[in-house]
Amino acid sequence: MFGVLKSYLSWLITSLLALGLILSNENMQVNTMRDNFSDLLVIVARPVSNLIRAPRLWGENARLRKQLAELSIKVADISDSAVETERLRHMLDFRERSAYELVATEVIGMNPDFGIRGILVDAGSEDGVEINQAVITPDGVVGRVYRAGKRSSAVQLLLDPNSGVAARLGRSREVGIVHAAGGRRLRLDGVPVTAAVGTGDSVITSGLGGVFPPGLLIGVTRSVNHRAVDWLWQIELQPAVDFGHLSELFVVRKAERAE
Amino acid sequence: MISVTCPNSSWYERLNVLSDIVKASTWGLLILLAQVVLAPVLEIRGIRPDLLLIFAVSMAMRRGSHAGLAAGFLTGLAQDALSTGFIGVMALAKGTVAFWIGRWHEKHEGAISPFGWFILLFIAALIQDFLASLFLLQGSPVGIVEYLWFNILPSGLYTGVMGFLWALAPIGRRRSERSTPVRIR
Repeated sequence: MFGVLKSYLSWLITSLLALGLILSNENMQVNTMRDNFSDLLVIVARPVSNLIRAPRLWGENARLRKQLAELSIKVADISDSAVETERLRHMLDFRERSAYELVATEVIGMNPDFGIRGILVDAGSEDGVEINQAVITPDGVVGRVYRAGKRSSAVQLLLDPNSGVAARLGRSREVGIVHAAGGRRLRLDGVPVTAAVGTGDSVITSGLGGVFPPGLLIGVTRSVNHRAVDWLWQIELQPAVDFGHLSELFVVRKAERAE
Repeated sequence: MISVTCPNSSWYERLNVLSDIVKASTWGLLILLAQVVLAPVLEIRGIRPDLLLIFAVSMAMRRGSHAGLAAGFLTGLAQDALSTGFIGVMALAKGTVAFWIGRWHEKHEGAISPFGWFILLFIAALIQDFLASLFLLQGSPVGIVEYLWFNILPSGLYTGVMGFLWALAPIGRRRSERSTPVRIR
């Protein structure tokens, strides 16, 4: 009898401990410990991750070498045009725009939770990565930095149910918010039925949320349905990024554009 | 005349328990690493099995509810530490599920078939993910039904299938055929 009671008591104490941790999510010590644990795991996980990726990288390396040879020929042609363009730009007094400063990083692992919600990358505060910086690939937006340790960071993907990105329809310029829609689907909420929307329209970041620079591709509209309840479009998106094959990413360290 | 001095039996027991804890911790760490790094390899259309849940349930079945609770809580905590969600959520969910499975097995001892493992892990994954989503979906525009349909159910099925394969594997078979659990109390 006492054994059974002891057993239930240990479950109760453990559950209370877990609840205590849930309530202390904003605690700095708890977050520092989380960051340190991520950093530690990255040290062990990086070689294993590299080993798994090696065969794919060899193939990619061969393909890129071939591409590099082809591109170097093209570059020679383009450099002539660039000189000409630069001369014309000066003549027209175009203002110089600063590019985004990007930090290259690699995916070390997925968040071990159920469903896809985040990834671990091998760049941290030592590389200039900070919380709430945008994470992108050449294809489009991946997510934002949720936690930044010294040498690793946790990235919240657009597929996270708690993620929300201020977005704009490329054609009609109507703004809305992109949310996860379960699985690998995204949806654009808050677009009134008065806006012109069609399938295949691009959806880009609006820059209104302050996290993502404007103009980054999020996806294209896949299906558009009329929601009679609140006079809003129900828009499903095809993400621009293939979330199943994320490997090399960029963290947008600075997204200022000189005015 | 040769005299043999037998060491204290309780000392042996403690050493055995310590050795079991070290073994279980090593397995737990290896499975955590596999869950993090092998996830892209195991993933099917964005759905991954919960290898850590299989480990926690396996511990509960083999070593009893206390060991299940400890394994579930600690692996869940490690999951939380690496995730972008609240810390403590998976520790609570995984620990609770492993504990109650351990309690159930203590009452209904006996071998479990590979199909039994599938059912057990499917149900365990559903309960765990449902419990976790009660916290994780707070304030989220994604509804619980939507999340259940697109994430929890497929993930539970995948975990169940992996549990089935685990029970068929020689090391897993040894575990599932063990009728009397060795418990850490």
